[in-house]
Amino acid sequence: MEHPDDSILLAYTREQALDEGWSSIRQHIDTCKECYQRSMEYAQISTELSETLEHFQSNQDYPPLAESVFELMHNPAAVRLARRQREEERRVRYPAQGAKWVSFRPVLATTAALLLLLLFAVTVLAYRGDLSYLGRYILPQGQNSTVLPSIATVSSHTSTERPSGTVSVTGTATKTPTIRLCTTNADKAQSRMRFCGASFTPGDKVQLVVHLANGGARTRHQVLVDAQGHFQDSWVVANCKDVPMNIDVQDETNSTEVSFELRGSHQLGHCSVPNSMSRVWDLNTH
Amino acid sequence: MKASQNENEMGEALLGEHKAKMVMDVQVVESLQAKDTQAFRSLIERLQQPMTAYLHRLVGDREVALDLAQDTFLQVYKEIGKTSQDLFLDAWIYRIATNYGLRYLNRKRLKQFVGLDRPSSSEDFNANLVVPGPENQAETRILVHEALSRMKPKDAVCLLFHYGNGFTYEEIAQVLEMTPEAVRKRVARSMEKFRAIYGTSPQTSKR
Repeated sequence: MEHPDDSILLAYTREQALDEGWSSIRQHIDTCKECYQRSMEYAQISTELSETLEHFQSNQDYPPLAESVFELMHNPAAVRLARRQREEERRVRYPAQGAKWVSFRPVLATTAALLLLLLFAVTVLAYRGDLSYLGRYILPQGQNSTVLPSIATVSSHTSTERPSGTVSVTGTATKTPTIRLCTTNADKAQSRMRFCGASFTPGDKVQLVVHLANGGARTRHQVLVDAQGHFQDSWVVANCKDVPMNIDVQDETNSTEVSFELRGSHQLGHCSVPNSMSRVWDLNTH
Repeated sequence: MKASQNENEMGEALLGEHKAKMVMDVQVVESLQAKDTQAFRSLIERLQQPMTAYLHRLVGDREVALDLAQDTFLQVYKEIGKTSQDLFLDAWIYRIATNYGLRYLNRKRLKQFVGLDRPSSSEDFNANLVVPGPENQAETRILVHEALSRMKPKDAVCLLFHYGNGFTYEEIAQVLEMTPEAVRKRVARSMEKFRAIYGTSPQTSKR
């Protein structure tokens, strides 16, 4: 016979009804030293527990409740008021032993709540992509930091061309080069995606490397950045295998590279293509 | 063979006891549903001592236990009309009391967390729970009470019912609306937790 589990052994020592029947358990315990030992342990601790609790139960003398229950029935407001007063009296009679702790707890709780609120607000802002201005406060100008790419990632997620003022990869306070999708209706008619770059160095030559869903990559021809720091390039989605997943912008003049991830989804021809971009990382190859 | 015959006889005796209790319950329930004040008074007098002691042990405070017992009986009076006559009356009342006790403890814990109530200390429950007795047993009782107080209330409930009020597993099953097998396992789990705490008490370890 298998060893009975602890719940069965305990039930046996407490003389509780068992599906297995007591005789089979008794026979097993008679022949199994280990189970006998365990059942003895249970018997001993059960005795201590029941002796304590029975002693406690039998030595308590409570005032009769019937009258107070009827009073509660007929005038609950008065009874509850009396209870509150009694509670107050007890608080006065037994001032908190851990007074320091008690007075400190609300401060801790409030601080924790404020921190949670702040964390929540930061998370929401980060999700919305409005954190670019934080870079100004987190990092002094001209200071290099590994935190920067993630801040820049968030700022570029807004896909706007306004100057963000974040610190560039080279450590100087300049506008962050970015690209966004600027596909026109005419482009859509020809299954073409258009990318508009902004805040690049005027006169630089840049080229896009388009990473496709199937793992391949295509390097586009070089384009010139105009006097306003803008450039444009396009990509034809001839079939659904040509849908881009990432775009790297290589600035040949400065030997820098910026990577963007394409996100979202909308229909272009027969294919589902991304409809937004966010910056992933900067690489300064100087 | 003889042993199993004895077991059957014992089982039938237990069943008979239950049947008698059931009959009595039906009569009491009928009277209570008819809002018979005398029946209600008798019910309070019969149950107030063990139930208040159970609540006292559960919440660790005599005054609170008395208030909770009053609330329980008031709830019984209000809700008895909505029950069927084949109700296990005592089990139902203990279920209400348990819910009140656990709700009180949850609120207390929340108040302690936000600093509106002082945390319980071991002196508190020693003063509240330990009843004077022979010196050699006093220490054991303190340790048992301490260990029970450090358990989660839901775990302690089964042990209090079984060891304090002498409820069988079947009766606990009726109170907690579980199967007797589930109660058997829960009592064993609670016992293991109790042993773990009780066994690690500094005084117990020395013994």
